[in-house]
Amino acid sequence: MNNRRFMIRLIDIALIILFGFIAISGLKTEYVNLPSGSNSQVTKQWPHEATLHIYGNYFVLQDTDREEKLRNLQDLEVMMVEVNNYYLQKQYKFVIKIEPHKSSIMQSLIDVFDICQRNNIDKNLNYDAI
Amino acid sequence: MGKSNLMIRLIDIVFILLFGFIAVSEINSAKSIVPPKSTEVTEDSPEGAHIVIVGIEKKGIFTIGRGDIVFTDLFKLQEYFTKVAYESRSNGKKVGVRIRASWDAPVEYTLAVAKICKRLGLPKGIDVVRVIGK
Repeated sequence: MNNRRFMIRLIDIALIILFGFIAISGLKTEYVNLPSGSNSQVTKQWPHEATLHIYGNYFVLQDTDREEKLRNLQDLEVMMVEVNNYYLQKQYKFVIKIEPHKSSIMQSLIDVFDICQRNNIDKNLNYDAI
Repeated sequence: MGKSNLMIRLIDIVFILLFGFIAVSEINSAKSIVPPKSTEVTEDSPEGAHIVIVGIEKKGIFTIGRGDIVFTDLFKLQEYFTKVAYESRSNGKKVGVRIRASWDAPVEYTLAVAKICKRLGLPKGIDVVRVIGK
């Protein structure tokens, strides 16, 4: 009889802990500001804009005279840093214009924002891309 | 001893019911959205403003707040935002919009909401979950 009571008490405690954790495990989110859509920053350097197209499972970086198709984020980051450095050396302010396409998903867009943030690359978002 | 056992048991039951209700009450469409993950997020949510959270589900369903208001039509959503913007301006309050899109939702829905906010002059941002990355 005592054993049964003990078991019930243990089950109670387990349930309290379980529901307690579920109750307090609310999703904590942070906030990413969306670019205004126009380059509002005033810089002393001439701006140079390249377009990054985001598709479902690849990216296309389109610059004045070249177009690179990139299959993963690592390659994209390497390419963006390379292009950014190239224009920095030429005294240009590199700005990436992000153009998501219909097949693109939110995570890809945030990944591109992260790359820009990590490497101090200015970004613009084309709201009319889709 | 018997009374004390009974009290403990009753307190246990009350706790189970309490936490159970809290846990169940969180199950709504807004909570079921899993936002994209970000390693570099730095922005804090805007303070001192009335924040409207717009949930965007994969199939293009828009929810407001905890999912009490649901829109499947962008025009209806725009009407809602126009009303919110008008009310906030007439009350002298600031309004901000947080777009909480599912990580695998098409970007087009987020851009559509962002465009509405831009047109109405409402500050906007995307909700993300911070993760430790590079």
